[in-house]
Order: sequence, then C-alpha cells, then structure tokens
Amino acid sequence: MVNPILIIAITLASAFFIGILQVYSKLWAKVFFFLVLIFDFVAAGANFYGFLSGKITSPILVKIGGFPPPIGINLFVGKAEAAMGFLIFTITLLGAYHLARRGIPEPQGKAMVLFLLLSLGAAGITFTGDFFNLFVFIEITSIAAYGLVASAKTEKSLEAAFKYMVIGSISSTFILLGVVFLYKATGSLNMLDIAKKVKTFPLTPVFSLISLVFFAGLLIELEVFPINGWALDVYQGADPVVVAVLTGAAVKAFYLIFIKAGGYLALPSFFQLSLIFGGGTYLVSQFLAWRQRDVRRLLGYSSVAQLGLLILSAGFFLNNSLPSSSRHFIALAIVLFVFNHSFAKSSLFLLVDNVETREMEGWKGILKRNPLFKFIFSTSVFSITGVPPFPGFWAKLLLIFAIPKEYAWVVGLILLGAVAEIVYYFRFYRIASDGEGEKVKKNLASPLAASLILITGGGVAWSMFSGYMGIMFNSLIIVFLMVAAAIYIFGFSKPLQWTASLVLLGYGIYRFLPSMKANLHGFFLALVFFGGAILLFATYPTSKRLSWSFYPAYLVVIFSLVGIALSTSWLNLFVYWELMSWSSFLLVNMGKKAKRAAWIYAIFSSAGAYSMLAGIYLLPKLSISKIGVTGVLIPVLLITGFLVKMATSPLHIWARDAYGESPDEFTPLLSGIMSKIGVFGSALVFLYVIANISSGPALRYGLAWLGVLTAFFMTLLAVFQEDLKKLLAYSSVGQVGYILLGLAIATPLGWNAALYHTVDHFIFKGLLFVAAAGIIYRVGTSYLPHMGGLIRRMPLTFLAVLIAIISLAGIPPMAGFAGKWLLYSALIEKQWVFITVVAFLASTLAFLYCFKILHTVFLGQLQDENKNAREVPFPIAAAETILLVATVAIGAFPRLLLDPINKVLNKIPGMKNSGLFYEKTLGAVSKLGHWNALFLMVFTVGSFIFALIFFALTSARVREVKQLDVGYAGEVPRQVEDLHFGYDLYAHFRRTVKWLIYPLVSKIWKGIYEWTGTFAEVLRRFYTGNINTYAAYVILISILILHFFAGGK
Amino acid sequence: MFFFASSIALILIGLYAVLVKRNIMKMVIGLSIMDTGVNILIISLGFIRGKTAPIINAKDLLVRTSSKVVDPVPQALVLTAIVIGVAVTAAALSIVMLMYSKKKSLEIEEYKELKW
Amino acid sequence: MGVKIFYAFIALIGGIAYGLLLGGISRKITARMQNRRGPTVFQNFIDVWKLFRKKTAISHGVMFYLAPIFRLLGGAGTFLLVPIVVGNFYLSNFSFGGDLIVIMYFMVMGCLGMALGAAESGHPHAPIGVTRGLAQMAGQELPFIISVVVLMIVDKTTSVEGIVMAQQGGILHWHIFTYPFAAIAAFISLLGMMTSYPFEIVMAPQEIAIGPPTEFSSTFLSYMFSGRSVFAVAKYVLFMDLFLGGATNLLWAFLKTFLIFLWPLFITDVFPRFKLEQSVSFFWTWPTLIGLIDLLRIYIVR
Repeated sequence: MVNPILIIAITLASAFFIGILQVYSKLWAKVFFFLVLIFDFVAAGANFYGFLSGKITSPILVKIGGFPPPIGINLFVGKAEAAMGFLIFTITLLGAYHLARRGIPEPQGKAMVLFLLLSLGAAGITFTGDFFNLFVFIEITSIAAYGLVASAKTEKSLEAAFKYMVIGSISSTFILLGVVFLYKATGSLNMLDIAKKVKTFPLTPVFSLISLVFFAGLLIELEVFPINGWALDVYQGADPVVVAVLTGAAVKAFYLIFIKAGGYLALPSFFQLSLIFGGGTYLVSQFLAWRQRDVRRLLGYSSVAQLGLLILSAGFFLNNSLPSSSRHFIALAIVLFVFNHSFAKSSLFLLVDNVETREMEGWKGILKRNPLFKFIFSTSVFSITGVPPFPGFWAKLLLIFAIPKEYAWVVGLILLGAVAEIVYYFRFYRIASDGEGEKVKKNLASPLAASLILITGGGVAWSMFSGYMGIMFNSLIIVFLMVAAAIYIFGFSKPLQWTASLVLLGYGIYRFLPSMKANLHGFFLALVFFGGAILLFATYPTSKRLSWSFYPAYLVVIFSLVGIALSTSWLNLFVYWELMSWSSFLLVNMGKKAKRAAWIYAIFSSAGAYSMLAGIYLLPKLSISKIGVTGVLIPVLLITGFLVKMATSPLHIWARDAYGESPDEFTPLLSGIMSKIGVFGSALVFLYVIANISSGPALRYGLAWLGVLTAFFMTLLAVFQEDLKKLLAYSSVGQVGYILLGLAIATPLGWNAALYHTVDHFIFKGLLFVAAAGIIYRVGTSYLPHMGGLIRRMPLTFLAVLIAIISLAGIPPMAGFAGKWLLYSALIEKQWVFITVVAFLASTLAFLYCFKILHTVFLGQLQDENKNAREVPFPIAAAETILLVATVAIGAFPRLLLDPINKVLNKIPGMKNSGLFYEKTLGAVSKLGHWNALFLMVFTVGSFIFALIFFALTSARVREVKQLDVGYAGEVPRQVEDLHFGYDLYAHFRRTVKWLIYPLVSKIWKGIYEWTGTFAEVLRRFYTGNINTYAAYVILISILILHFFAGGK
Repeated sequence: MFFFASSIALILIGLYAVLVKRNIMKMVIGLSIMDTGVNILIISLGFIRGKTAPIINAKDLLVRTSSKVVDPVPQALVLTAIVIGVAVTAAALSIVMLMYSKKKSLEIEEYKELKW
Repeated sequence: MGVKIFYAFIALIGGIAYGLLLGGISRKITARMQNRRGPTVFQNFIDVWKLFRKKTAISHGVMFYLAPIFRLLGGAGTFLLVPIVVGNFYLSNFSFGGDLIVIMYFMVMGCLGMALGAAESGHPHAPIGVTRGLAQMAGQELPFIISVVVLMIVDKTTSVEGIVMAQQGGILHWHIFTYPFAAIAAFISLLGMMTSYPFEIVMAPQEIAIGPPTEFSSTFLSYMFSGRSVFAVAKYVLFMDLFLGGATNLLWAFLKTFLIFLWPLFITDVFPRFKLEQSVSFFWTWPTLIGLIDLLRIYIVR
C-alpha cells in the first residue's frame, strides 16, 4: 500500500521543482518528469492491486494536519478510488509518453508542470474525502487544463481554452456555492460525515436545492447536453494529446465524484436528473455526430455521448429501488464503460495526433498503407461502438440486463443511440479504409498499448460476464476462436493459413460430431460445419491475393455460427451473433469496392442485432425453450434481427452490394450459410415465441407476406441486374424469402419445405457463388456483358452451373424441385390463396434470370479478352463437383434430405406428423398430391439418353461451325462484329414493370438517413460558437435544474 | 442581509458581463466580479452580527466560546477561494493576451471558429 | 412397368402425330380465312419427314446439339405426365410420376433446353426471342396460376387426376362451368402459351426471323418441330383435364382437345401482333382481374 497523500504531495512538489529544474537542464527535467509519472503509476497500481488481491480490505483513510475527520481534511481511497487513480495515471503516462515522442511543446517546462498538475488534480478529485478540498482540486485540474488546452497556441486552441475557462469558472462558482451551502446546512465538509448526517436528516427541499447547486456545477463539467458547447470546442480545438488525457482521465475523475456525491447527498431527484440529462445527452449527441466532418469534433460528440451513458448508468446505480444484484451489475457495467471509453477514446485521440488533417475526407484510405495504425484504429472504433469481444460490448449487455423492465424505454434509447453511433463511426471507418491513403506519422506506441489493454480487458470482461450472467460459453469454441486469433497474429503464408483453417475445421467436425443430433440445433450445426468446410476448401486458388486477416475472420465467422447453432440461451446466441456479424463485416470490408456496402451492412446488422437484444431483454427467461409471452412486440423485435441476416424485404438493401462487392471467396459463405443462420434464428422464434402468443396466426400471416414479397421483388430485381454476383445476391435473398414463407406456414409440410430449401439453397447457391468466384478469377470481371461464350472454355463449370440453375429454377428432376413442391403443397394445404399466387409468379420470374446467367456467361459469343480463359482452378472445380453430385443425388433421392428433416421435426411438438409419407409408385405423397422423384430422374435421364442415342443415330451428318458462322439478316457477319446480346436482356420487360421496380424501399431508407442527418445538422447549429450564448445556456439550464429537480414537497 | 444582497448583486453583475458583453476582456472582468460576489456571499454565510473573530486568545472568549464567535470555516474557505480566483484570473488574462496577439481583436465575434 | 413404357410410347407417337395433324389443320383454316387454298392438312408430316431426311446439319456446340433433344424431352415428358384418360391403365400415361406442380415445372424444361441451345448459336435474334418468350411467360403465367390455384384449393388436391375426379358427375361439374372466371383467365393465358397471334412475340418471323430456332436446320428442326407439336397437345390435354372434366375415353379426349385447339385459332387469325410490353400488360390486367374474381370468391367462401 502506498499512502495516497504521497502520490499527491510528491507530484505537486515535483511539478514546481520541474519548473525550476528545466531552467538548468531540459533533459533532466524530462527524465524527472517521467520518473514522477512512473512513480505515480506504480503507486496507484500498487494500491489498486492491493484492493484487487484482497491485501487491502478496508478503504484507506488518510488524516492530514493532525486533525481527525470530520474536522480535518482527509483522503478516502476505496476500491473505486484506487481503480480510478490507476486509470488516471495510466492514461496520463500514455499521453505523456506520446507527447514526449512527438516533442513536448515549448516552453517545455510549462507543459510538463501542467501535465503533472492535471493528473494530480484529477487524482485529488478522486481521492479526497472533503468537499472543500474537492473544490480546490477541481480548480487545480481546471487551471492546468486551461493551460494545456491553450498550450498549442493556435487560434483554435486559444479560443477553446477561453471558452473552457469561462464556462469552467461558472461551473466552479456553482460547485463552490454548493459546497459552502452544504457546510451551512450540515455543519461539515467531510464527505462521509455529511453522508452520515444526511441519512438522519430531514431531506427538505432547501437541502435538495443546495445539493442541486453542487450537481449543476458538476453537470456542466460532465458536458451534458445542451451545456456542452465548450467541451466540444475543446475537443475540436485543443491538442489531441491533451484531449486524450482530459477525456480519458480528468473527466472520469469528475464522473467518479458525481457518483460519490450522488450517493453521499442522497438527492431525491438524482435518478430523474441523471436519466434526463444522461439519456438526453447520449441520444442527442449520437445523432449530432452524423454529419460531422471534423474528426476531432466527431470524437468529441462521441465522448459526450459516452459520458451521457455513464451518467445514465450512475442514475440506475444509485437508485435504491433496484435490487442489489442489478445495481451490482450496473456497477460492473460502469467500470467496464469507464475503462473502455478511457482507453479507446484516448487511443483514438492519440491516433488523430498522427494525422495532419482535421477533415474526415483527409483520412481517406489511411488504413491501407498503415497496418499498425489500422489495427489500433479498428480496435478502438470497435471498442467504442461496443463490438464483441471488447469491453464496451459486455458493459452494454450488463447494463441493459440490469435495467428493470419498467424502464424498458431506457433500453430502447440506449440501443437506438448505439445504432446511431455505428452509423457515424463506421462512416468514418469506411472513409478511412477506402482507397489508398497517405502514410501517417508513426507515433503509435501509446495508442498501441491502449488497444492491447482494451483487448485484454475484453477477454477478462468476457470471462467475468459468463460468470455473472450464468452463461456457459462452449469452451471448445472459445479455444477455436483463440486459434483463429493466433493464426491472425502469426500471419502465416496464405496457403498455410488455408491448410490450418481446414485442419481446424476438420477437427471441429470431429469434436462436434456428437452434437449433430436430430434436432434443429444439430441440423444447422451440420450445415454450418460441412457447408463451411466445402466453401473454405474452394477458397484456396485465389488465397494469395486475400488479405492476411481473411482466414482468421473466416474462422471466427464459422465458429460463431457454430456457437449460434449450439446456443441454449438467447443471450449466448446474441453474443455469438454479434461476433459473427462483426467478423463478417470485416470480411465484407475486404472487398475493393465494398466499403460503402460494408458500412450499410454494419448498420443493418447491428440495428437488427440490437432489435434482437431488445427482444431478448424483454423475454421473461433467457433459455431457448417454450416461453410464455404475450403481445407481438417481443417476437417482432426478436425476429427482426434474424430477418436482417436473411435480408428479408424491407431490410434487404444491404444485401446486393454486400454480396456483390465482398471478396469472391467469402460470398458463398455469406449467401450459403450465414443467411441460413438467420433461418435458424427465425425458426427458434417461430417455435418458441410466436407459437405461444394469441396473435401468432396474424403475425405468421404477416411474415409469410414479407417472405413472399421478398421472393417476388428480389427475383424481379435480379432479372435486371447486370453484375453476376449482384444478380446472384438478389436471387439468394429472394430464395431465402421462400424459406421464411415456409417457416411462416408453420405446418409440418411448410417446415419440411423450409428446412429442405435451407439445405438445398445452400447447395445450389453455394455452387453458383463458388463457380462465380472461379469465373471472375479467370475472366477478371463480374460484369455480365463482358462475359459470354465461356462454355467452350469452362465446360465443367458450365455443367455445374446448368444443374444448379435447373435446381434453382425448380425444374424436376433436380433437387430444387422438391422444395418448390413441398412449399406449394404446404401453401395450398394452408389455403393462403394470394400468397400462393405470388409465390408461383415469383418462381416463374426466376426463369428470366436463370436464363440470363447461363446465356450471358456461357453462351453466345466469346469475347476477345476472354479468349485465353481456362477452366476454373482445381479446388473450385472440386467444390463445384461435390455440390453438383449432391444436387443430382438429392434430386433422385430427396429422402436423403427429407428423412433427417423428418427426424428433426419429429422432435418438435406439433410437427410430429410430417404430413408426408412415401409410397412405392407414387413416391412422396402429401395429403394433396404426390411426386416420384426417382421416377422423374430415371424418366428424364433415361428418355434423354434414349433420345440422344436415337438422335445421334438418325440425325444428318453434323458439321461444327465457327461462332460467327450464323445467318444474320441474310448475310454472314464479319469477324469484327460483336453480335453478343448480353446487355439489358429484358429491356422490354423492364419497361412493362417499371412501376414495380421503383426503388421505393432504398429511397425510404436513404430518406431516413438523409433526413436524420439534415435534422442533426440543423440541430447542431444550436452550438453557435459564441461564448455568450454558451454561458446563457449554462445559466438557463442551471436555473431549470434548480427549478424542476428540487423535488419541492 | 446587506452583505447577502450585495453579494448576489455582484454575482448578477458578473453574470451580466459574461452573458452580454462582447469584449473578452470585459468577460474576464465579469468573471472576476462574480468570483468576488461569491466570496462575499460565503463570508456573509458565516457572519453573525455582533460576534467577534474566533481567536481564542481574547480572555472573554474562553467561556462559551461558540456563542460568541462567527463561524471560522467560511473565512478559511474564502481565503483559499480568493487565491484560486486570482489564479484563474491570471490564467484567463494570459489566455486573453495570447488571443489578442494572434488576432489583434478582443471582439467575441472574432472567436467563433469552433462551432457546430 | 415394361407394359406401361410400351403403351406410353404408343401414346407418344400418337401424340406427336395428333399434334402435327392439328398444326396442319390450323394452317389450313388460317389459309381459308385468308382466302388462300393453303397446304394440305398433312403438310406438317411432310415437313418433318423432309427435314428428318436431310443429309447434313450444322451445329454450334454442345448445347446447340442437345437443344432439339431437350425440346422433344420437354414436350414428350409433359405429354406423358398428363393423364389422357384418367383411370385407364393404358391412357393415364406416367401420371403417377407427379401431380400438377410437377407438370407445371416440367413444362419449362423443354423451353429452357431449347433456349440454351438457341443462345449458343451466337445469333443475336435467338436470345432476343428467348428473352421475349420468358418475359411473355411471366405475363401469361399470372392468370394461369390464379386459375390453377383456384382449382387446387377448391378440389383440395394438387393431383391432376384428383382435379379430374372432382369434375365427374355431369357436364355442369366441369370447372369451366363451376369456376368460369378462372377458366376464362386460363384460356386467355392459353393464347399466350400457344404463342399465336396476337401473342406471336417469340418467333415474330417478320421481325427477328423466328427468333430462337433461327439457326436450327434439318434433323435438329424436325425434332424441335415434333417436340413443339406434342407439347401443344400436352397443353390441350392438360386444359381438358383441368377445365373440361377430363376424358372417359379416347374419343372424348380427341373431341375435347380439338375444341380447345380451336379456341386460339379463332383469335389468332383476326388480330395483329402485340408488342411485348402490351402483351405482358394485357395478361397482368384483364385475364388476371377476371381470374381474381374466382380467387376472391373462394377466399371469401373458404
């Protein structure tokens, strides 16, 4: 244990000593400066460790000047104070080191003195046990901060410093008045003493008013909306290093005293106060940042918002009406939030210091050339936005689940703000990762340390979280995820990574084989594993051009999918879901032109995930089993998250570009398996939630319409798409719409159809996307009009694609037909007449794009630039072959798939009698009809072969002619003529259905985005930049606080 | 009561300067006035008419001390507060000086570069 | 099973012959209406035979080579999956193989195969014709689907035989009388399926030189011709089963399919050709609305 007074005294003395020392030797002054900081760091660390390890059991009380408290000034250091002290000095040390590497601004001594004073002041605020002493430390901190903000001596920084000074003075006036009034009312200045007195004290309105004066001062310092204009200006104008320390350390000390004072003074309206100001600040600031183009101010808005969230949490933490377990969780959440925000935001501001430009546009492509910078930037951004496994994510979860249900709207508010946060942070991320930017300065040691601390903290938080929430994370999956991380860290060569991934997946299959039982979980687990293995296998040939983080991210996606499939608790599922979403975001973002797509993907998947989280929050229990809920809100919230991943209309607009622009190696997984995990989730919702509510049938009917309309419109859009992958993307989304429809029918037949189509769609769409990857690899474009005639160059791929397309189109005897037959049988059985008609029509429309794929890629004329294209590389061809064989085999023997599905359904109550039985001649028989798959296969193939032989025997002598040897308008075309009809094949049809393909949904979404942005921009004008106005806001709001929150009874 | 009223008046005058004056120098003066007002207010809180300073050396104070002296704590506080106020004013003035050296203006309208 | 295959084969030959004959008749009637003598009703037989006997043929590649086979397979397969005389062992064909949904999807196979072959020819008119055909299909399918869904839902079966059975017991039980609007929609849709005027958009000889089959010649064309003929017959038989109560013996089958065959003929010869946009718009409005009347009816009654 180190006496905290030593920390303060030594730092204070050294601060002034450095001022003298540096006159004689600048070097020694610097050395001394760091020695002091390191001493502080170690001392604070020792205290914190003492508390953590249990060596220090009771709070450290330090008497000063021989007076015992309550008369004398004292220091009070408990666990929280020790932790905060350690945080303050860690951040200060990081900041100081960064500053020293960059070059401490002249006059050097002054900056160092101010730095020490700032950290000392913050530590004093944290440690002190006396209200007047608190005021003194606040002033020390403030004066040091004014000086540091001004120290850059630019116009901007001086302006910021002046504004800070003016508002800071008003704030400290309030605090001083509050302290004196407190003394007057209680006759004491000692915090603990006052707290003791307050307990026995009649809480009169006058006393509330007195505490409110104090809290008003603190709220100004805590940058709550709308009295935070000065703070934003400081974030924008000051030296980023100073800001890093201010936001990471000093403001956090203010926050701690806010909580402590809230506890000591027992202000009755504290909860309302923090709810309104914290929640309001959080939500408003997240939106105000939307259109912000100055990076520093953007981060400022974000800091303010995070602080708002902290204030909000403080309100819940101090609310006595909450059960103590909830308050315990909230305390943990607060610790994690503070930790997360301090390190992430400091790290970001230190990164900002490495970049010359203030404008966000100047960050364009900055990540590309600076890998370390990219790592730190990604880590920090992910931490702040609450991406697993970083601490912010766990903090959010802990906080949300500790908030009692009667404050559900607060959870909604938190999640709404979180979505807004993702919108602007990932716009920033998108700009920074788009294209090739300039190299930046390499002063990255401190931010790197911060991000490593964050990662460690995330790991610790995860293990803590599992313990607290009583969720067992499958340890094997965690191990696999760690191996993925190891692959990332060691960064083997790509082929080695591929091998390692494949081996890992193989081992995973071996270990998880017992879990692949005949139930929904096992079914999807098998799909994920075997499907993932095939698709991973096919990535080999192009692996050389992949990013070195491709395979690790790919593995994380797969193992999160495994985790989702194995989850027995909704919360567990959610954690893996987020992990999957974000690792797939990284994968999508690896595509060259995918930055915008990845951004939209991030927004939609996180919004969906948060909606799901809200639903989970509202559930009465977390285990995935029959849950008695009422009302449609919970199922709608839950299923929205899954529908996003299935890209069900109107949540589909991310899909086209995310599929189209993501790396070709990843798209098969995105379409083939990841959208299916959405199916899994929806199935769970249908099964355990929707099945039990009274409005279930209506909800199912609505979802069925969503499904069928998705199928219809996406198919229609696919018809007019000129990019191979985007066409397949629309097709994929449309097909998944059928699956949703099947689930929504909720009869045994419907679920048969849905589950069958789930696997079958993976087979043919996986095949198509894998083939597309191969074709694009060989041809170098995914633009359909630039292909054509490739049948002669890649016959195997043509055959595979042909069969896949036949399956996709649902033409017997391939596997796809069974899905159609089951679905229509189910629909007719259910007697949903209009839906049936639309479903039929949509599948008719699918023929249009099916032909388009085959024609524009393989048929017609070979383009000159593709003359040398070869068959796709072996692993792709192998994957194609496997899937091709599967399509044909299941086409002939659909029971290969239907029997396992039946086993699965038999486990589900209400689905037991699948409504499907098998008869020798009629084949599969439902209540309505029958279809003999094997007969059709034999019949078709047999007749085909028979006809072929007959034809070959009887036909005339066949002469092969060259491509252009056609009779065109009565003449033979010259060699140079391009007769390939490959662009806008359905121009005529497009003119007919123009009104149907009007991009209404994307316009609406875009409109929401634009209008919110515009609204935010207008609202932002509120911060006029005029200090008079700011001061007026401060006074006005303080008066309002005093008026409304005094709780006058 | 007089002290009380005058301190409130001083605070309000200071606030008025901060809120309305367009000259940054005047704003700093306003802050200083406000500070003074607060100090007087603190003193006035501890002040009890007809009582003496809490210096125990005086003979007549040795018995029933507490009923004869004013509250010493506010006075001690004010001392600190005055020192801090001076420090803040000094810091403010140096910032104002630097600002003036950059833009040669004390008009607050000139310092609106940071906004929105 | 062997017997079954044998009789199916016989039926198929008969189907092709019947199709070719109907084609001849239609040419004759058209000619008469245009005040020409026209070819003999057996002209199609002569044409097919002539083409079949050609000594050489050209091919543009594998899919091109396979196209006629697909075409024949699609036509013949559809024909064989539709029961001509329900309950009759010899004339119910392979209807055990599947129900109406199977047939509807099987019908596409021939078109798709031919489309691919045509597209491989590299002749730009071929894909133009194909895309027109597919778009037209999207148009005409809507009213057809509506009426089929009506039938499947009211009869509570997806099996063609089941639908035929549901119409037994007198002429008034035929769906054409019980669900007249659905029937009208389907019969208008049939005009599109037969791609006869005014829906002669796919081939459009004056415009894109018969489109998809434009590069095919000799044996190839003879196969495609036969396939097309039997495909037409398959559709007539399907319509007979769906709306005219099926057939109890071969004679009825001939009579009813002949009646159905006559229906497009009456329209064809008195109309000019639509543009594709007009065609699709037409199908998606009038016949659809008519079909919707019955759909609404069963929706409400149910």
